[in-house]
Amino acid sequence: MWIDREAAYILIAPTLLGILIVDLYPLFFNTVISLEQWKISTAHPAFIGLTNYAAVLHDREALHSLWVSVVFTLASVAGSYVIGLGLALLLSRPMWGRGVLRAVFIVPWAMPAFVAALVWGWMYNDQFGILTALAHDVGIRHPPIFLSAQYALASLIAVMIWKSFPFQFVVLLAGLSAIDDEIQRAAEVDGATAWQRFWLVTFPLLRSISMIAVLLAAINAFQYFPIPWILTQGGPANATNVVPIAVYNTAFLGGDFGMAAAIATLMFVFVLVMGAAYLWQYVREVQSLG
Amino acid sequence: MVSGRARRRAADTAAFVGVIGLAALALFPFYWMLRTAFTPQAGAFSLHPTVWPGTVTWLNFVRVLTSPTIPFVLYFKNSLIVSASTTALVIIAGSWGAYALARMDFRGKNVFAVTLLLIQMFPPVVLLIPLFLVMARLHLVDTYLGLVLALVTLNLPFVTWLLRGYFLGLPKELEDAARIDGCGRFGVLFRIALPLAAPGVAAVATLSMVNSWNDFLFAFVLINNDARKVLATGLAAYGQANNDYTALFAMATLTTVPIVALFVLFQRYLVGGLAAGSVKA
Repeated sequence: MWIDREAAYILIAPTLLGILIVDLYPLFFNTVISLEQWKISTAHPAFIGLTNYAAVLHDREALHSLWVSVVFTLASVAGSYVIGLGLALLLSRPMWGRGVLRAVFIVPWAMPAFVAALVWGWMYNDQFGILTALAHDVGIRHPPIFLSAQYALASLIAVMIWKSFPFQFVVLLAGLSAIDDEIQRAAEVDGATAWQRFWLVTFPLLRSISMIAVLLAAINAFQYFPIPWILTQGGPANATNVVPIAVYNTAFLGGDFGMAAAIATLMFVFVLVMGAAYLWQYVREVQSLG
Repeated sequence: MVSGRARRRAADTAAFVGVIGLAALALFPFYWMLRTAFTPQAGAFSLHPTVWPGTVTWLNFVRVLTSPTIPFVLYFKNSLIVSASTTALVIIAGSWGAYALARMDFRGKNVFAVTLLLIQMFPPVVLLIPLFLVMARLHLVDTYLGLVLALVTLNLPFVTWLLRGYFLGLPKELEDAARIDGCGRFGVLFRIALPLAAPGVAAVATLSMVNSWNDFLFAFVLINNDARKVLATGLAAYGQANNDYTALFAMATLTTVPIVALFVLFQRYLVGGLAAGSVKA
């Protein structure tokens, strides 16, 4: 380590400036806005303390959005984790065409979210959609209208599971490959069944990497905008009105920047809690490897 | 023993069948995009679409590339300008900062490193309103510069963090030797460390490029003028305004195929990078 203070400061300056201007200042400014009466119609924003926060916590629609986001996040993370783990277990054993298959499973992740949303919207189309036609083919006389108020949230969750399981798969496969084969073989010699080997040997060893993958996926899902927006714009009848859409609508359709900023700050607190859990897990993982 | 082997072979076969089934599910939307893009324009509106294509045609691609009423080339150009500028900015700033973090000692270094890690988790939605209000005041709404600055928020923290890891992985001896031979502090960075880190820089630049190419939220809020729209918002708007699905998915195909190719090419790095990022730091 060289003691090159000045050189270090020169090199660090552009990154530091960038982060101050485009990340930290907006975060600070968002908090300021959330404490003000700032509507598109008001000429001068005025400080009103925690009024916006109190309004959010008494607002039925805002609380409904929080509920929708929690369901969307939990269901999509659980679904993508189970599929990702199953697939990682299947593909960690030798198999014909394994390399190609691994590449295939990255495709949903690689597809831009806005393209994925457009394609799924087209597949869900109630007149010309392939999924509606396939439902007819397998004998469902009245297939569900996928994006109706009743089914829209479940349909969005399905898209999100499809989009995010490759991430879980890739992380868990890396985790599996780090487990020593000897441990498995020892358990096999001791007469453990495949199920016991998974529950008592593999799964405990995957626990910390699973925590990391699940928390990252939850942080991502909780703030996810493009797929819900392009598919349903929060509707029908607010059935899919996740928190990011509530923020957007409150600010840019309702014109109430103060209230929108308050919702965004509350959302940030949620993400921060998950982020702190993630960092804690991450630091533990790093330390355990010495 | 024989029955054990037979059972194992049966398990392998079952696993293979399961994996193939999941692969079909994973690929189906991608296939359906291609299937629609290659269907004759009127054929998209079949009340009973079939999985296998009937007539296959290139015409939709010709249409989206040449028709004056479909602004695909314009959106593509805008996306390219915005993503390339963002990537150039974050790579220049990020590689300097990353090098200082990896190799130099300065006050506040640990705070800076932790801040970088934390910022990676900022929800873009939280920055949306303040960024919009500031851009509006500075007359940067509907400009490339405004969108590029907003996209720097998404990319600078992770680019700096990943490059720091890459520099840490390089052997220090070469740099020490260059120092002893009289190379200045900046000379070591530009003549020794950066060329050595070129593969890492290329991979991180690709990630930043893809990230910017895929952004929907910032482009949606900061760009309203049709002449400045990027692919993400342009295609979504086209899909809503026109019932022209074959053209829409021809455009989607041209937007997606380069990105998917990059992902598959960089697959190894992606997995390695994730493992290094989440395990080695």
